[in-house]
Amino acid sequence: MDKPFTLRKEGFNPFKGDIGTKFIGDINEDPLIAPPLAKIVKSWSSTDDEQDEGFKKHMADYHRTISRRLGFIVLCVIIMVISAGYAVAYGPLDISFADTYITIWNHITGNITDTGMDFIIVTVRSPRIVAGIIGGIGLAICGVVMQSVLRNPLADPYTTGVSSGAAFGATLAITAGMSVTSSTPTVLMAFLFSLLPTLAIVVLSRHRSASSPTVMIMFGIGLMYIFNALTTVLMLWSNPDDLAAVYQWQVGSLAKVTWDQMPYMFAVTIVGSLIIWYLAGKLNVLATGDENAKALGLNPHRLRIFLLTLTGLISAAVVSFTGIIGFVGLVTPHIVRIFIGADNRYLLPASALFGAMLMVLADLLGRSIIPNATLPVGVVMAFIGGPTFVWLLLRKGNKAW
Amino acid sequence: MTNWINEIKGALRGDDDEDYTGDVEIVMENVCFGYKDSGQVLHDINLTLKDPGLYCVIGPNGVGKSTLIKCMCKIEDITSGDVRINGNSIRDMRHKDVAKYIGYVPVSSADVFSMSVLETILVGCQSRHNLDSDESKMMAVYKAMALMKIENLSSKNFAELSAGQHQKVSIARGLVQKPRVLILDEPTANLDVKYQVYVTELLRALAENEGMIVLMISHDLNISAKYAHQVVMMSKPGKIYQIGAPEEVITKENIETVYGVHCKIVNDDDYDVPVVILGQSMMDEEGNID
Repeated sequence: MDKPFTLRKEGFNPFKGDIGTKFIGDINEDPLIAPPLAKIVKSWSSTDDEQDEGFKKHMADYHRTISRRLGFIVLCVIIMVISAGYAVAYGPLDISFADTYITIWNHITGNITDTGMDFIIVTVRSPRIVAGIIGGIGLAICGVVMQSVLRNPLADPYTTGVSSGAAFGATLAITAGMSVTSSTPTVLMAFLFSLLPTLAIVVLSRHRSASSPTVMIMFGIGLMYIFNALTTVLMLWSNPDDLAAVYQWQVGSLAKVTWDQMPYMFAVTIVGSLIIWYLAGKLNVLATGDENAKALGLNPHRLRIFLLTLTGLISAAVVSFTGIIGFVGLVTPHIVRIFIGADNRYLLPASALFGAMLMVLADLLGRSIIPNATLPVGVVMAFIGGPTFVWLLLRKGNKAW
Repeated sequence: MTNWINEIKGALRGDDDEDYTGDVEIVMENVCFGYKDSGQVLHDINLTLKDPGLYCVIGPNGVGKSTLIKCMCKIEDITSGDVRINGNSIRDMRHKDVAKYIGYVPVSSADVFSMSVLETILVGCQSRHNLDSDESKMMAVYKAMALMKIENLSSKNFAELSAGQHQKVSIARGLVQKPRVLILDEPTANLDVKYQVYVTELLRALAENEGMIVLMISHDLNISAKYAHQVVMMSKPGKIYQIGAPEEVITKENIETVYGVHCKIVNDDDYDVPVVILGQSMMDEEGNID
């Protein structure tokens, strides 16, 4: 760049020789700068870059990393499809794995050959699998975003109060006798109350002193305790039948989700997840801290509120249909990070698919591990996931998440 | 609600066509800043950055050096006065607009969830033109890593690095933004002597070669005296004490007044720059320093 370089003070000359107060472009004239450094800096400024060996290796490394991540994602999809097939095939009436997919294919193409088989597979057995996939996607995405946005490895729909809100709403609906004839009031109340914590965090964060991520998650935990206390009070006052219903709701399960509920859950989760994925690059910036985000041209507060609202909606949509399923949202992001790193552009889709896979697997295990009994998916998840998680953390033995 | 709509719009819209490669002038006019609880930090700051060059901000701890540069790039919102970038008030500019002119390198710290070194630096490309291809971004990242001598760390996890390596990665992230103004908060903290000299020399060379304004906070008087084109000396309680060429500002009287340390200044004949030789700290009979 050949622009004159002016020194503030007339007559001051830091350079040997007679350059005067004007510095014209060539840094080779500056005795403070070593000639090799001058050469490096000039090549930094030039735009016609030759792609030397080092750069080719650098690109090759980068492409290898990306293919490894895509490989992980593909693997998740394969395991998910296979386990979903077995999950549908498994049941009192034994149906082969191949028949399962043939029946589903026939249903999709409108060419139903065996109506009995079609009824069992599509109407009876598929909803819980599809709910598991959607729920897994939603909860895992919420976990990733909440952890990145709040910069806290413990953030998930549970610690931000969403699940407790849903539990309170459902309990209220059940104990007030709103849900005698249908489950719709329970779902509606759970949805409404699960939005409250997010709403409260959004409103509260308008105050400058409450806008830091740490305060937000502490606030979520505070709300969680309040909702839990309220739920307990309702349960103490309720009759045994309602109590059983409440208890059953609280242990998350995929069994109660039906086809006609699916569109709501599907729409909110998938649309929300896609918007979040679109913003993954910005989420990366936000995860490096507010100061960095501002310096890189983002309004961190606004983006944080927007993303928290989206995740609040998604987790509410999932939890209000399935009940409380812990673990997926908290742990999926951590496990996936171990394999593919913390870059949200890849972490988001990989976690979504891993979460879906985990849900389907856990549900399948819950139905098959004890003969003639079903363990709810939430319980299985905690039993299998807990030790695995601890083992992975110990193995990694690292300060970084 | 309108905020969210704007956020979505902003995310969907491409970059504007404005040219951010020309000269930049930053004017701070009667700037005051205070945190809510801890009182006023900056008192009536007037500072103009116009000529390209390396500017070193020096001054004792707690004098507001970091706050000053944060106000300059809208990380902190000033309480009164104005900061203007090419005549536009920073109050009316979005973070996005400021980021096109000014790159900021914070005192480095590990992130909660850390990405690889390559991805961490790639984040710096965020504020650049969307039109840049992936390849050209990767080239910028590669060259920045080469400048900071950290090519071999590319695939390492950021959190696994040492403090000095963190520092180099942070500087590289600032460089890939290719801003016209680069502001660094203690870029040489955590670095050994060799790299303190290398980084400062590099920043001076970049300022001269690219015609950039590079502003860095430094605690090393001798490195500042040697490499800075201009030294900004700040003193308590958050004022600018003096701005000028190194040998004007780094004088015996100034250092004794501002830092409270006895010293003598000699001239280094090889480079014709002032060299500070520190003496005893100034304190009263009871040992009170302030």
